[in-house]
Amino acid sequence: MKRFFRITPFRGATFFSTMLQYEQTAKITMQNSEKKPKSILHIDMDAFFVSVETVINPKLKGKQVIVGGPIEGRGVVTSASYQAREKGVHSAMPMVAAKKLCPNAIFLTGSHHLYSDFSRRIMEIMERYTPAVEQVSIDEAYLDITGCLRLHRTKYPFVIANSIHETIANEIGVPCSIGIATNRVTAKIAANLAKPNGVLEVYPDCESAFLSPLPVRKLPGVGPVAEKEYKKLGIREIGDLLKFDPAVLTRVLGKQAEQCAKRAGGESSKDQAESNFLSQERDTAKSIGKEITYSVDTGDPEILAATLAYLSERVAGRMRKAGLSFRKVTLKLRYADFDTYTRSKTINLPTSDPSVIYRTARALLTSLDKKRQKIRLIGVTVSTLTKPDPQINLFDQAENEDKKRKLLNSIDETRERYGFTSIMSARWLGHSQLR
Amino acid sequence: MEFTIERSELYKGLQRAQGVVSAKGAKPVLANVLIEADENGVTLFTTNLDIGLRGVYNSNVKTPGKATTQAKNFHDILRELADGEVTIKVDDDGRLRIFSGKSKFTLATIPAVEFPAFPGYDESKLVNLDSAMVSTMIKKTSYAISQDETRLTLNGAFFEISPEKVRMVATDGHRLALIERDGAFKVEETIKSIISRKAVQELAKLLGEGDEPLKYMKQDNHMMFQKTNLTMVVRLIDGAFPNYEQVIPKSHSCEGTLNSDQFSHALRRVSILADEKSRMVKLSFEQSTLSLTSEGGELGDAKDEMEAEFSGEKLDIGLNALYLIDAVNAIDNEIVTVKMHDSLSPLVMQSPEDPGVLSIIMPMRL
Repeated sequence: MKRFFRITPFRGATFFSTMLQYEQTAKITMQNSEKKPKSILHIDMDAFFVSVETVINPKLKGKQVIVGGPIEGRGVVTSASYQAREKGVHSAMPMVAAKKLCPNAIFLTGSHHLYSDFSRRIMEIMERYTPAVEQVSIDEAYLDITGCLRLHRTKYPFVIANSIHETIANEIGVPCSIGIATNRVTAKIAANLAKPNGVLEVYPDCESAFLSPLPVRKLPGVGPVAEKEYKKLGIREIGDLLKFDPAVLTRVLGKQAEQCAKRAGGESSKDQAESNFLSQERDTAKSIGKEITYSVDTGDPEILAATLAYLSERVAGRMRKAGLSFRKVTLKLRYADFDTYTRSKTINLPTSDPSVIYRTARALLTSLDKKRQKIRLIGVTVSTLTKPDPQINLFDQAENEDKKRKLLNSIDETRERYGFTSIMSARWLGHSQLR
Repeated sequence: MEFTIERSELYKGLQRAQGVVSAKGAKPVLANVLIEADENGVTLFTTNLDIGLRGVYNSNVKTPGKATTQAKNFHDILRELADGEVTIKVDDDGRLRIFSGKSKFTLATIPAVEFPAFPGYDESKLVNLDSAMVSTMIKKTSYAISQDETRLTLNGAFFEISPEKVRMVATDGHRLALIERDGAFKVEETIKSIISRKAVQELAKLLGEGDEPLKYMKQDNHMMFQKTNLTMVVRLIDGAFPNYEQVIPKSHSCEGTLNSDQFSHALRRVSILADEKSRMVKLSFEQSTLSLTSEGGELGDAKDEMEAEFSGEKLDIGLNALYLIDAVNAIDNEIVTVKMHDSLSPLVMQSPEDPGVLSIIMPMRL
């Protein structure tokens, strides 16, 4: 029987035997399908921030390293070395909890600038292999290499993946894991299984055999809450999900379940699964947002206003960098008792003006903050993003508009070079937690 | 109620009425037409609460009375009937019956008392306006009325009448169309009102009915228009029209004179490849040439050139091709002049043959 996956480097007996189990469950006969299947890579950096810090300071290698917010206050872990992960530290965990698990770990606050720079260089390497690179976060990307196999003089996507893997390791010094499959969901799951520092290929037509024995939790879109719901139905593995009638799933668990079931199908022939996945990712890229958790809950209107001003500038800066304008502002509030509310407002004309975000968010705050309680978290998101309209308005003063545009451009340039806090507005200057 | 009427006469009335019936909404009676038969003839009245249209038609009334019935069905039946006399009758059972030759129809009715009343007005206060003039005013401005439902005051044409002139202005925030006509109008003071897009369309239809002058008056937040046997009442848009006078440029630094036909055709050609969303074309004026270019990105690009009389420094300006085409068409003269200041200031289009008509278009950033 032919193997339906391959993996590198060799990862020890336990892992290998699991993989062999998949193989046996699969009972796959490789079909020579006429249509050339797609080759999608999902490349994900291993403990990216920690890896970058290790490149800068090699002494960190092999140690418990945790990158995240400040330990005092409410910082959370953004990245942890595998040595720290062994102790149970994971990302999004409060720093205080991580400190308890790994009291001797090296704690770093990290520099986003540095990570962005590494990220950009890594993406550049990927672009040498194929123009079809879709970056989905600072440390992961999808690559479609279907059309460029011949260019790289090979029949096997695995060869290209290995080459990318090596090049990133040699030129940047940061380890990554790569999943190869005919669709994005399977590629993502494969990359996850290949971690750390591995390459895993799922052969065409073997997707459902590969996915079936995996726990449902591995599916994108299934979190701890959904996992519980699935368990109630006796669904533990992705294969169980496939046995269910999609209509029943939708009725019991809602629309999300239907999509998950489609994803569980995994075969490249099920284009639906892929397009759903695609659209879900595109959706998340349709908004730009930032939120802040206060180290001490607050009800002070001045602090809240300052925060909104700060968040508005942050969000507007990112939007301008992306060359976009927004029409919708969403305000998110979380109270001390963790009750969370959001409210949105759509404006008429698209803009990227931070003062418009600020004014809209302030108005939303006034209408939303009715609970007599202190606020723990506040967030501002803009959505309905469009390219800025080149049309100038008749009833706005074009000259003023232009001056404002020039001012914002200079602010962006300065911040690009010297960091975000090189220019601060007076409204949030005095609040040290807004940085 | 019982009356006999020529099919063509009743059909004409119902066709007009059709324009202002309410789409099936909260009040079913608004989908109906109110039919009143009395010594003056037959009156048909329909309204959607924003516009009301009343017409009086010749007929032979046997028994006066009132009833309402669904306008669409009534209209559709009359459309299909053979020419000749039609008898309409409402019996005690509340059914409206139509007799024409061997055809018979029975329609459901809603009592006339449920129908909104036509506002009363003092006919002596009506002011005469030249129908052809008002018709032209609508033609030259209505294209610029905003389609954006969120900007209520821009969803109509601004109509201003003073003892010595009338003005109509429309704008969507990107462009503005203005027409001014001098004359002697019997109004005591300047009257300003915003007439909705739909009402402007209905008014244009009304103006198309013969050459008689249009009679007009404003009452509270309504405007009355009367022509021959037709009376239209229009609810005005509440709110202030933007300060349009402020955005009309007072000076310009360059001016081009163009043949309208050539300009309009060149715009049409070049705009095919203009960006789908912005519809931007770049106009480049230099000495005696105007070149028009569009960039369709991956799809391709286009360039055209035409002769132009041009005075001033070389200028590149980006504009929405559709706005330009609309303006040239509305001005509808052999020659247009375009006056500009720089690439970010409004462009003013006019014709030397009719300086009372003005079109202002805001440029796009190149």
